[in-house]
Amino acid sequence: MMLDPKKRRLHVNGPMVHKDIRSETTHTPTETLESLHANPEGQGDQQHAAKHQDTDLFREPFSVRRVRKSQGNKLTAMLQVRNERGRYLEEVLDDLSEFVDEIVIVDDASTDGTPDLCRAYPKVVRLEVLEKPLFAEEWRLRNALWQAAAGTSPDWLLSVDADELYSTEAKKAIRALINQDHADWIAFRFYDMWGGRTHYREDELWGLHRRHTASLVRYMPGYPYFYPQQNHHVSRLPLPCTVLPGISTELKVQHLGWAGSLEDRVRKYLRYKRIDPHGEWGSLEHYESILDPEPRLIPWKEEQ
Amino acid sequence: MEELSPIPDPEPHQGVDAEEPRTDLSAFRYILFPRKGGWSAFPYPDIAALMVAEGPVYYVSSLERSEEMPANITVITLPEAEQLLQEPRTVAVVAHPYWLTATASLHPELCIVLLPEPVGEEAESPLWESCISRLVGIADLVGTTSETRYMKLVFQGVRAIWLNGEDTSPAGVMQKDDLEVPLRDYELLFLHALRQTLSGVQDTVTQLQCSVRADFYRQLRSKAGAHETISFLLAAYEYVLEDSRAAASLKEAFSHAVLNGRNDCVSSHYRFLSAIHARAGEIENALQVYGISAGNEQERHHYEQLCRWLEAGEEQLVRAELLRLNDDYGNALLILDELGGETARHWKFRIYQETGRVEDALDLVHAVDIQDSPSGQDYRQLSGLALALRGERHGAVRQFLETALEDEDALARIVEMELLDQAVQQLLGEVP
Repeated sequence: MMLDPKKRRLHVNGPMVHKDIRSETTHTPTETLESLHANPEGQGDQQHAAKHQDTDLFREPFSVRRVRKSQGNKLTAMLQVRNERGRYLEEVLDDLSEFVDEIVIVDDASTDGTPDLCRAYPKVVRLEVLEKPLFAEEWRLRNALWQAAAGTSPDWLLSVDADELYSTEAKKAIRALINQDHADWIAFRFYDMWGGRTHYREDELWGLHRRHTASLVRYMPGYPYFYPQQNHHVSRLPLPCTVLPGISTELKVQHLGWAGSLEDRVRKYLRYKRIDPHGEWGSLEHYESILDPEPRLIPWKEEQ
Repeated sequence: MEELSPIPDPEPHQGVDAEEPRTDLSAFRYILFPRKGGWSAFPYPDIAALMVAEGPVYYVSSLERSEEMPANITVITLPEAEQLLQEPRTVAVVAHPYWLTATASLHPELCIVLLPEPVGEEAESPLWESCISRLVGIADLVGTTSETRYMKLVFQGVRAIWLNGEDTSPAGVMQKDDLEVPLRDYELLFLHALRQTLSGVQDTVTQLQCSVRADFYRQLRSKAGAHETISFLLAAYEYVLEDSRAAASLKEAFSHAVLNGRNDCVSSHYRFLSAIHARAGEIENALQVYGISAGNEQERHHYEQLCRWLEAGEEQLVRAELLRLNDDYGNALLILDELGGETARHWKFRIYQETGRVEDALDLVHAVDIQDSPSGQDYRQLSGLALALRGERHGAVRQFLETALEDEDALARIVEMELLDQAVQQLLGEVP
C-alpha cells in the first residue's frame, strides 16, 4: 500500500535476502517441493514438504495466465461505424483484414445498410447493431464498443475509425510491437489528409501529426477500464490506459476524414456547428478553419 | 460518540472490560524520555496527563523543572531513570526517536513510543526515519498524530493509536481526584490501549479506531462525493476491517486518481487491490492485479516468480508475498508463522529487517545462511545494530569496523552511534 505517493520501497539487503528470494522462486513447477523446503534441521519442514507432495500427486497441471505475453498475441481491431456506405469503410476493412486477427464492430444505428457491408468480412467476429444511436453520448458508444471487443478475449485492441488507414510500415511493424511484454500501449502519428490523399494539412489548428496518438492497447482482463462521461470528443482508448507504460512510434496513419470533396467538408462543418454551436466540446476557431479556402498543405510521404 | 460504545468507561473505580483480566495498574510507573526544549516542547502533554492519573510519572532531564510542568510529574536524571527501569512494572515512554539506543539498551519491561512530528532539519535526516523504524521495532504501543504513520503501523501489525481526530466533543470522562475530566475519543482509546498493553490483553482498540475512521471517511465521501484520497483511505480502513466494500472503494479511488492525471496511480492506488484480493483469499486475482501494476523490470521479474510459485501450489507463500508487497507486514507474518518451513523463515527475516525488528531478524539467521562473503557482511552489520541496541557499544563498533574492511558504508553506523550520543545530550538539555 502506498499511502504516501512519494514513498518508494526500500530494498534492504541481508544475509538471507538478496539471493534467496530470487533463486528460490526461479524453480519451475516440475521441481519437487521437497527441494524447496529442504531443511535438515527441521522435522516440521519435512512434514510440510511431504504434505504438499501428497497433494501434488493429485493436482491437475495448473497454469497461471500471464498478464503480458511476448508471443502469440491476438490482435483485434475495433470500430464504431454509422452510415458509412459510399465512404471508406470497405477500404478500411480490406486493409485491416490484411494484418489483424479479428474485427469487432458496433454499428450506431445506421440507416444505410452499413451492417451488411461489415458482415461480408470473415474477420468480423462480432457485429453489434444498436437500434437507437448513441452518437450524442459518445462515451456510451465507446464503452459499448470496448465491452463488445473485450468479450472476444483479445490480447491487443486496435481502435480504428472507419476512415483511417495504417501505413505499410506500420502494418509490417505491428506484430513486433505487440509481441513484447514491456509496453501496454502503442502510439502512432496520425495525419489529416486534405482534399485527397496526396497532401495533409498542417497549420496552427491542424497538427494532429505533431503529437502521438495511442490507438493500440494491450487488453488485460480485470483492469478497470473506463471512459470519461463526456458526450463528445471522447478519447478512443479508456482513460486508465494512459497511466500504463507505452511506446510512441513514428509510424504513420492516414486519417481520411477530410480527404473528400469540399462539399463533404462543408457537410462536416455544418454537423459540428449543429452539435456544438457554442464550442463547448471543441474549439469554434477550429470548426471555422474547416472552411479555410487556402489551407497549408504538405505533400504526403508514405515512408518515415 | 456512538462508535465508542464498546469501550468501557475508563473511570478506574468502574473497572475495565469484563473480558480483560483485572490487573493492579496503579503499580506501573512511567518514565518520559522527552524531546529537547523543556516541558513546553513535550509533544503529548494530554497523554502524559492520562499517565499521571494511572501511576507515578517521571520526566528525564538534566535541567531544573520548569514552572509549566504539572506538579505531579517528577524530574529525574538519566542515571536515575536507568536505576528505575531496572525495577519491575516500569514503563519507558519515549517521545523522541533519538532516544533509540539510550532507551533500548536499558531493556525496559515495556516501551511506549509517542512519535513526535519532525522539527526543522529532523525531517530531512535519514537518521530520523531509521531510528523511528527501530524504535517501533521494540515498542509495545505506539502513538502518533500522523494518520499516514498510523496506517503504516497498523499494516505492520504494531499496536498503535492515532492521537488525533476531528471530533472535539468529549467521548468519556476520567476521574481525577474529585473531578471528572472529559476525554476526547483518541485519549479514551489510548487509555484503553495502554491498559490492554500493560495487562497483556489482546488488542481490540485498533479495530475500533479503524472502524471509527472508516465511518468518518464514509460520511465525508457521502457529503463531498468520491475523491481519490478519501476513497483510498476508506478502502484502506475497510481492508483492515476485512470489509467487503474495500475493493469498490479502491476502484473508485483509482478512477479519480486517473481522472486527476496522476501518472503513478497504478502503483500508488491500483496495486493495493492485489492486497484486498489476497486478504480475501482470491490469490489468482490478486496476482493478476500485481502483474498489471508491475511497472519495471524488477517488479515484472518478481511477478513471473510469483506465477511460478502459484503454479507450484504455494498459494500461501504467494499470498504472504503479495501482502508484503503492499506493506501489510502484519498479515504476511501471520501467514508465514502458520506455514513454517525454510522459505517462510527467509521471508520473515526480510520482513523483520524491513520493519526495524533487529533482534527478531537476527534470531532467524542460521549458520548456513552466512557462508558467502556478502551475507557474512550483512550479518555482521545486523549484529552490530543489535549490539548497539543492547548497549554493547564496543561489540557493535567492532562489528561495524569489520564490515567496513570490505564496505566503507558500514562506518556510517559508527557515525550514527556518535550522533545519537550527541542527540541524547541535547534531549537532556545538557547542550543547546
